[in-house]
Amino acid sequence: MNMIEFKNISKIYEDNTVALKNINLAIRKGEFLFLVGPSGSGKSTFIKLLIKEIDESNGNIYIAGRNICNLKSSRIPQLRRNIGCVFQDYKLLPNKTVFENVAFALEVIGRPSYEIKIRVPQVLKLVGLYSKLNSYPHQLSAGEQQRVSIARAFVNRPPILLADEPTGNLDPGTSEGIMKILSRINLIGTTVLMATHDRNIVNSMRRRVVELEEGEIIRDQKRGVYGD
Amino acid sequence: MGFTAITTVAITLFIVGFFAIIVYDIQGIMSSIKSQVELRVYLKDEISEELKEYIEQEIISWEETESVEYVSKDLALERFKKQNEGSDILKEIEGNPLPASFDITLNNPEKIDQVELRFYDKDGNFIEGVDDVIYERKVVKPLFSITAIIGTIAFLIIIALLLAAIVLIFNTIRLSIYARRKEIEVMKLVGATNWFVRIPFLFEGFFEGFAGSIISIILLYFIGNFLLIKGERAIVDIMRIKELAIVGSGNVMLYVYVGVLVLGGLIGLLSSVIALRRYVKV
Repeated sequence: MNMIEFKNISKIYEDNTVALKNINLAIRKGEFLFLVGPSGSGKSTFIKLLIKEIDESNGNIYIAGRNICNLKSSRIPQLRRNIGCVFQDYKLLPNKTVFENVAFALEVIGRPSYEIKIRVPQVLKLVGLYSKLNSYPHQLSAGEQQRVSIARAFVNRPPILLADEPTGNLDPGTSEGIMKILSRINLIGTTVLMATHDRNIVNSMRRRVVELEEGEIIRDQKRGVYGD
Repeated sequence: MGFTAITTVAITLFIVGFFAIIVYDIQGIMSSIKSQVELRVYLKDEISEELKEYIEQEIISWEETESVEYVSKDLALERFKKQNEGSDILKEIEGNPLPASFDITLNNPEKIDQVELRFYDKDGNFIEGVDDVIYERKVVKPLFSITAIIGTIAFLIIIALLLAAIVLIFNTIRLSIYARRKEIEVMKLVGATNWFVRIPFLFEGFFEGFAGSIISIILLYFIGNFLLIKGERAIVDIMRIKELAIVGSGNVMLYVYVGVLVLGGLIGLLSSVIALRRYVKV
């Protein structure tokens, strides 16, 4: 079953920049996929289209078989509850503790507090931060902050996890830790799509690699490497 | 910042309410003065009975006519004599030089010009049977324009103040959106519904408008009961006018309070809606 499917997707921004050109791509349920390519190759556009932060210019995107291109704006929150997002800059709230940051994701979608009390510690154990649940983001290392961000993205158990340069600000050792967590999440059956230009990580993981260049897919390789 | 917005709303709505009371009172005074304004149509002595009757029916049929009284030559003389009792002028009167007239009271004295014109033909002469038309032009005219001017000035001031209040609440909400932009971003990212994001800001704007209107109601209550009421009592004593805002029998002040409250809430909500539309794309 295809979890994500792009059919003839193009994106041209208002200033006439062509970000994506006629993209066709299918990602199966439970797959782990690296989206690689230089800056400006369209990786971020790809991710923004999936969470409907921007609209495509042409084509259709299917998530779990459903076309999201003609989704009403009132249905977008429902879509985003099924897609966890991790970013290079973590996007943590500085005035909330680790626990509160993760709990926030459940609170704002109206989950009851007993559920929050069970799920948040669970997911913090998964990312290895159970001992720090009362710390504030500024008391954590960069790698720990990114793990909180992953916990927040995953606490709702979405079937899809998107990660946009999650190791962009991290040193190689820390990055490895992040990748272990993402692999673990993938093993539970979550479809993981990670945009990166971290050559070492891609080469060491040996997962499917899709390479973008100037908005076009120039390579789609199973158990691939970063390329030259 | 929230404090400034609340204060502005309070001052604005206080002035709105204050003007509402003043305008209401002026209109009460006006309408009692206006109702005393008469149009008097003098008839020629040689007017035929049919024409006289025809004109009277015409006058009665106009919607502006409140009442019409026919004053015959005899009645006119009688009234004249009564008014000038003991005066030398009566000795000089031979026969009856006074004309008969129709005394018309209008229900809307502002239409007085229009009604007067009906006694002229298209050449500018009086119609057949009519000798002259008079009314208290000198008194009536300025009264009308004063009401109009006060109304217009009050309206302009109110609009300007309402705009200022909206801008200030809008600004407060804008700043609080700015302060919470990261939180909003995360909310949207994890799938909070649009209303979940909007409601706190709508509530904040509504609260500021509402709090401002409560303060202005308190101000209006005290100003009304300790200041305006003295003026109104004086007017009642001198002019025997009953329809005034505070001392009158109607619940005018209650309407003013409710109006201020509703207006305050609406200003707050409207400002938040505008701010949300501009700064949070949900």
